[in-house]
Amino acid sequence: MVEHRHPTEKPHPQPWFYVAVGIILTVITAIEVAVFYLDIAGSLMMPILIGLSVIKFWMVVAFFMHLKYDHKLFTVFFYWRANFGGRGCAGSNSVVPEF
Amino acid sequence: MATVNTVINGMLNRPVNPTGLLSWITTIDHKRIGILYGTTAFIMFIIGGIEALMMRLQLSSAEAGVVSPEVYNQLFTMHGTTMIFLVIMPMGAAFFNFIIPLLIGARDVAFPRLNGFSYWMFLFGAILLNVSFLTGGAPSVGWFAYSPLTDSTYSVGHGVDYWVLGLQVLGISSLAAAFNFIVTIVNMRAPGMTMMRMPVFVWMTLVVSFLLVLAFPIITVAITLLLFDRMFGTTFFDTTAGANPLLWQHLFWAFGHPEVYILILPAMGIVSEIIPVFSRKPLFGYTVVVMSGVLIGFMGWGVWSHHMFTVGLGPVADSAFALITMFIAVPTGIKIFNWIATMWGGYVRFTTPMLFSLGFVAMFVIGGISGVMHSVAPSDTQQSDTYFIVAHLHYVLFGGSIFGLFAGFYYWWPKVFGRVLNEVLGKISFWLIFIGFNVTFFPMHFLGLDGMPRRVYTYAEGQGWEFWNIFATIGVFIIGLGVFAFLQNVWHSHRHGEKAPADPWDGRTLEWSVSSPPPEYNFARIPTVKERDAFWHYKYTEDSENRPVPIVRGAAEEPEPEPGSIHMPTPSYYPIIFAAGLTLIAGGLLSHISVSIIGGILAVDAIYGWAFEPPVEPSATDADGGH
Amino acid sequence: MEYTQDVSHEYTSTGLNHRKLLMWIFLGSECLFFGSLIATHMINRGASDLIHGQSPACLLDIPVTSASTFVLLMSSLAMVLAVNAVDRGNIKNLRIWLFLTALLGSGFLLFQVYEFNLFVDEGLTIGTNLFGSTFFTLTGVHGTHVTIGVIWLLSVLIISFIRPQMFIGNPLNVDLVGLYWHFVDIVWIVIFTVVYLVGSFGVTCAG
Repeated sequence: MVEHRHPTEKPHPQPWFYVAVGIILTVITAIEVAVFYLDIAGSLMMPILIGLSVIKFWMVVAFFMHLKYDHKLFTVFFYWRANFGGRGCAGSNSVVPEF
Repeated sequence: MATVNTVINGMLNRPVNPTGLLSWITTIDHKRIGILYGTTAFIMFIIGGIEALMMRLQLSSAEAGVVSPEVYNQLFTMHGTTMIFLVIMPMGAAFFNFIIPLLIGARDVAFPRLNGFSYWMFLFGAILLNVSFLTGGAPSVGWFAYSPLTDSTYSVGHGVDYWVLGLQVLGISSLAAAFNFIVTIVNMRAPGMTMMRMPVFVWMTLVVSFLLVLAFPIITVAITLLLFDRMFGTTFFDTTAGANPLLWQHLFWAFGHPEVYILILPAMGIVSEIIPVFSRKPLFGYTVVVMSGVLIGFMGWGVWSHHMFTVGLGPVADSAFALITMFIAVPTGIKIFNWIATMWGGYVRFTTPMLFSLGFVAMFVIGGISGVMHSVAPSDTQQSDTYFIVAHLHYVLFGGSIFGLFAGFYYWWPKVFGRVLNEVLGKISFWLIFIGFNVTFFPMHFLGLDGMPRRVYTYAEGQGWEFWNIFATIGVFIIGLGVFAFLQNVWHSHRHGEKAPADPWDGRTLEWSVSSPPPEYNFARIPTVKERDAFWHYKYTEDSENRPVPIVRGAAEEPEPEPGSIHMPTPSYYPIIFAAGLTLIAGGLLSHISVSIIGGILAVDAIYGWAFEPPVEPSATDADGGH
Repeated sequence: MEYTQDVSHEYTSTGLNHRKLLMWIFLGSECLFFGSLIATHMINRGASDLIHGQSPACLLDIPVTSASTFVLLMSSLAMVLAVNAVDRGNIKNLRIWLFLTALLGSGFLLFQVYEFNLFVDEGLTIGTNLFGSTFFTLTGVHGTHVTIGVIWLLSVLIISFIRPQMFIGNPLNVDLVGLYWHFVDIVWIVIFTVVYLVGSFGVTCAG
């Protein structure tokens, strides 16, 4: 069965766009590691690290997985559950103290 | 190239027009799969019923010796596990399978082979679970298997492992089915059938599928952790290693509570279809009923710790969960009022499906009331782990789900099998089941308030519990007679029953527009839908007083399909082989690793075979044999 | 009943392909699955017996894991370039990028094997304590997903040699493995940040 691109999907970006996203992801990872080692942020470290990883997560989902340009329904299905999973993760984390 | 194609297409040639047993083993037709689910689930119902009967016989007198304590524990564990996972859920699946494509104007589900796979996983999981009786004992830890009772110190032998692996297999079955139905309902509706024109049963199936997809990963994690503790020496539930003693309960009930909504929403959907037909009125407040179902699906996630009021969560947690639990009664209550309002002012016919539907409404209200009583956390401290809970859960699951499913049997039987069930026998069966059910379970409210604990294999003389216990046991026999009457009805209709017309009940929805049973392709031409209750509006218009007036049409036959225009998916071996492979992997963990390896090989071969086999065998005109 | 012209084989209510829809729903449910595993680890890692007198988190090697994270990220880049290639009908490039994705994915797995061996040598196994149980279960399940992904990628690669015509004008099969592969990557993004970075935060280790 031949499957064609959905008519409302925009034409896909050029390869250089993806390479650019890849470079940005690498840079963010490097920043994360730097923030961790240099210990400059103090008590802000956890929110910064989590914030940066959320950005990476979103970039891969939106651009590499093309979610930003695809039908909204995919976003609904995925984010509703990602939301659930994330809340479960965060919620249980805050409810029970770690050490 | 031909040899390469054969290799790529898997080791087996595709079955071509199979007949007999082979046609059932390789079927991917949703109608046949629905019948397989229904038949298997009913057999499990009888097995679960026998387990219940044995328990009731043991309890009918103080200090009886009908079964040993160890066997009794296995009985209540298996009775619960069977009824929930092997009866109610698959029975719902039977209806989803047969009816949903017909209700939405489709020819099959989105993934027919995945559908077949789901059934075989269910069957094999059911067998795996029950094999435990023969291999050293079934699990005896209760259907919810609390830790630390389930760890390898306290549960010696393989019973718990069978429970875990059986549920893993069943979980895959349910997940696959849920994915299938979500895509089917979202993506395969007939032109013009918007979401708000779908029958309520379709909506409830969609909500249930989402609940399944979200809840089953949680229990998968829970039982995986348990399995690892038992088999690989991890310490997830080992409090001496610092584990949180409540971890199992939180994980299990986070799954378990949405699970009970998975169990009840299909029945609510069925009843929402039946009551309008036998009141000759459209469902009152369709939008509200749909929204209530969705709301129940959402709110069901917030109440799980009402199963844990007695473990010491603290007053804040207890109060929060108590409140949300009380609030969840609201959308349910809204549905009840809508069903009653549907009947109000309608022309009501008390056929067997209608009797079961009304029985559902009444019994579920009683179960709901005892549920709200439980939600009052201080009262629950007394009620918890007594027969009061047993009464509540049976009123909602038997009086609720099972009654709803029986209503569905009688309602859709003509469509599925092309034969009418006898109404007199049906009514006899209803009244026997209804009376027997109340005789069995209503007294349990008294026993519970009087302090009789649940999951005890006997009780001392002089507690004052003997009378109601024996009363309840008599009820079981009455239920048994009622079920027997149903089976008589089935047998009789199969042998001598009159053939069913397409539309025996003067129905409202699309399944009644095709023959009974439907042709393989369901609809010769896919209808275009313009409103809710599309079939009703095809048959009737309304006069100035909103009374239905039949539309007179010429004797136009249903159009024949154009030759070659309908491509139905072709049967396949791979669903059953893949299911067998996965089950053998699980079984090997309980016996010998070589079994798992064989299972693995089968499974891998099946995956590749399945992937390379097109859903529909290409005809000569197709250029490539691609997916 | 009123009928339209019989609907075409590919008619869908949303206009979206069934399998793509299925994959997104499946990935959504996998979020819940991994979320539970991550939560279980985060709750339980503190209540653990010490290894060599210090927290098990001291065994985590951030530089090495940063490298493996980078490798997995690059594999995602290779994957999207593979999808891009098949979009343009360039089967030759498709094969190259698929191969590179699988190679980088395998590289990640080698890092994981190395790390697991290191921990076991230091005395941290799946049965040692809660940190070990939860950590190995979480990363082991993730690693299994990566392995399945590599096998899938190689299968698609082999098919691209045997039946290349299947991919012309039809990017769906590569799209699907791509979605799965990117998901495996984003799960690791969360694990790296939460389990390794946040997990090592504030833990005192002797050298």
